[in-house]
Amino acid sequence: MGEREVDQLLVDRAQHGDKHAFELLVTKYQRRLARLISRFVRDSVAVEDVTQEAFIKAYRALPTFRGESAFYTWLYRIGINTAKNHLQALKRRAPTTTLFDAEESEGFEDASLLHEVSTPENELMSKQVVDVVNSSLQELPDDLRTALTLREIEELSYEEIAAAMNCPVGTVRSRIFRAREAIATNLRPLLGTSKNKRW
Amino acid sequence: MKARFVLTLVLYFTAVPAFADIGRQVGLDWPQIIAFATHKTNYSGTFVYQYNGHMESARITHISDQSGEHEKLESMDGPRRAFIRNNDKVWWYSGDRKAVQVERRYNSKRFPALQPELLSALNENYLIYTAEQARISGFDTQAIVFQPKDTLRYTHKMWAHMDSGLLLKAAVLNERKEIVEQYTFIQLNIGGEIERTHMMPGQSTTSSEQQSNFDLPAEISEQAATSEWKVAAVPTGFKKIMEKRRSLHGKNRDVIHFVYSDGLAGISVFIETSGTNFEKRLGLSSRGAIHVYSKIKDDYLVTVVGEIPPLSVIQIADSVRHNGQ
Amino acid sequence: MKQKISALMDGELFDDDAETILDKLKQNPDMQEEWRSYHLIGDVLRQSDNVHANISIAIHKRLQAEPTVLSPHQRDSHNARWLALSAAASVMALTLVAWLSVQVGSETVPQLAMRQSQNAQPANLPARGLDDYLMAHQEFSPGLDVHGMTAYVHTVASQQEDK
Repeated sequence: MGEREVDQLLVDRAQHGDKHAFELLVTKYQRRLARLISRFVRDSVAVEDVTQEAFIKAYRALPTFRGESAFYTWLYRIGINTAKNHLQALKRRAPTTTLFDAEESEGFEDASLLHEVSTPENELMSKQVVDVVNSSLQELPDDLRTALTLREIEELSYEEIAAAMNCPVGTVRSRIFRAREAIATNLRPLLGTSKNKRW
Repeated sequence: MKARFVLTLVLYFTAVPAFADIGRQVGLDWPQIIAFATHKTNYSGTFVYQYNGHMESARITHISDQSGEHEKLESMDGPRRAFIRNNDKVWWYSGDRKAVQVERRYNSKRFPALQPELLSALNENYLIYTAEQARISGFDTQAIVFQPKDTLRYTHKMWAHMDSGLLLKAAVLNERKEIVEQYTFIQLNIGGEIERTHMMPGQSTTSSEQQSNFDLPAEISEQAATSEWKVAAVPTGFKKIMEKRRSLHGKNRDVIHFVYSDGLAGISVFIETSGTNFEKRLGLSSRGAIHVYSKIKDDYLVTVVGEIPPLSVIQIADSVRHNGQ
Repeated sequence: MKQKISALMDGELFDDDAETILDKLKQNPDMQEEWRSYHLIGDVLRQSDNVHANISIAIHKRLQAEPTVLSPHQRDSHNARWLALSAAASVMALTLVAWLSVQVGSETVPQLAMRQSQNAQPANLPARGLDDYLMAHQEFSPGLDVHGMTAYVHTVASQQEDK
């Protein structure tokens, strides 16, 4: 089974009423979808809202998903549409907004603090997470780092990685796991302290 | 494989403005252009309507001027039947029994622009993309496909005149790409002076002596339907755009009328007491893309009408519940 | 166990193994930590310039408020009841399609493709009985926006076949 089949497995479960399975898909695709949406929507608070909205829409539309395309292409399509709707709604609201420009710009700073995502603390967290992951990756033994990189960045299958690294598939599987676990161990103190598990 | 897909997608969006569409997919421009042309252009022509193996022709004339929209649609085969519309009033002529019914168009204010809600519904439920360019009745047209993202609705394909945006042809296709119905103009005059007298032969019959023969207009009361009824299984993507208690059949009997729209297709659910409907046909009836399903639910007659696949119509009718049940 | 989660993410487990792991993941929320952090690592490696925050908790809360969806497209071959239902549905659909359309290659002229089992045929619309509904429906149908009065052709056309 490939990655697409795992998604389909989760979709099947979700279509049978298992919300938890859908949440695993959310965890998996949230950042990829947010990144896609950020191509349309500039404001980072809005990106988060639109991403949430897209997942909820996807959940509601799940009965109509028949597995003819990959789950992520279907999800991306919903994401793009949700982003466009958001922009259209903004455009419609535009005339009203300009009327209150003065007031809004005064209150702007406060308003942005209401959303946790745009606080400096969160930006700092984001930077720390990136730093920890990158530095942990560099500290890994060569073969672990290579295996994980081939998997996550090049998206090769275990078999392809085995061929590239000239080792058995079982070894690839264990190297990738050890690499992930080593990085995750370094991340845990950071993740453990972050409020509401924002990372 | 996936890496390549994601990369391509991301590069594409980086390289083009944020509003650009994917591939041949077009935005909501075409639906807007078509709707505008339909309501703001002067035209007259003859089209052939094909459905369920039948073929009929009809003539349409449309005039838009300072006083608004005037149009006439009349059958050219069999007994004379015609609709004449003057802005928000519609007269229905049925030649053989000299009877004229009046329908009042309720929400004509929405023209010519499509409502934003409608556009966003369109966008949510259909992939809209351009297909081939074709010559129809001597006009160059661009084909636009509205492909549903699920099987709950039909595919719509429209051929719009490149210059004016008028529809020269439209087809509704089912899941297997088979045509459920279509109409094609075989002759069309666009713009210029349209002969008015030719267009409005029915004007004289709207005089007062005829008026008295009219059935009562199908007035729509302002009173909203009470929420005593619930339609439990409305297909995904359909939003309720109206819920009214109204009279129908030209009698003073109330009917509850719900309307849902997905941007392109509509569904009506009618609920009324079943007592005097002995002549009504139960079960499924169809004309082209429109399906009607009637069933008795307790002491009520439930009728669902929609431009959606028959199974959807049946499912909706079966899901109508009296609250508290 | 953690190693299996790692392999599952990459789609490198056999089907039955995958089902077992997913069951365990569901029963044991602690194990979801690995699923979450391993995916975070992958996301950071792929897009380190801009890492978005974890919104799965917020979505979890919103999902609790959502009615649980159930798909009509069941793949579960163990469930005989579903199979029976969908078989009945497709027989019905086939009959309808056979009657309705209009079997054409791609987009040529619709032809007469009626006459299947008499009982299964939906009736052609009677001229009088349902016109009221059709017209009331057309008043509000979005088709009117796009097609204009041509949409009323359904009612205009209804006279002929009943005569």
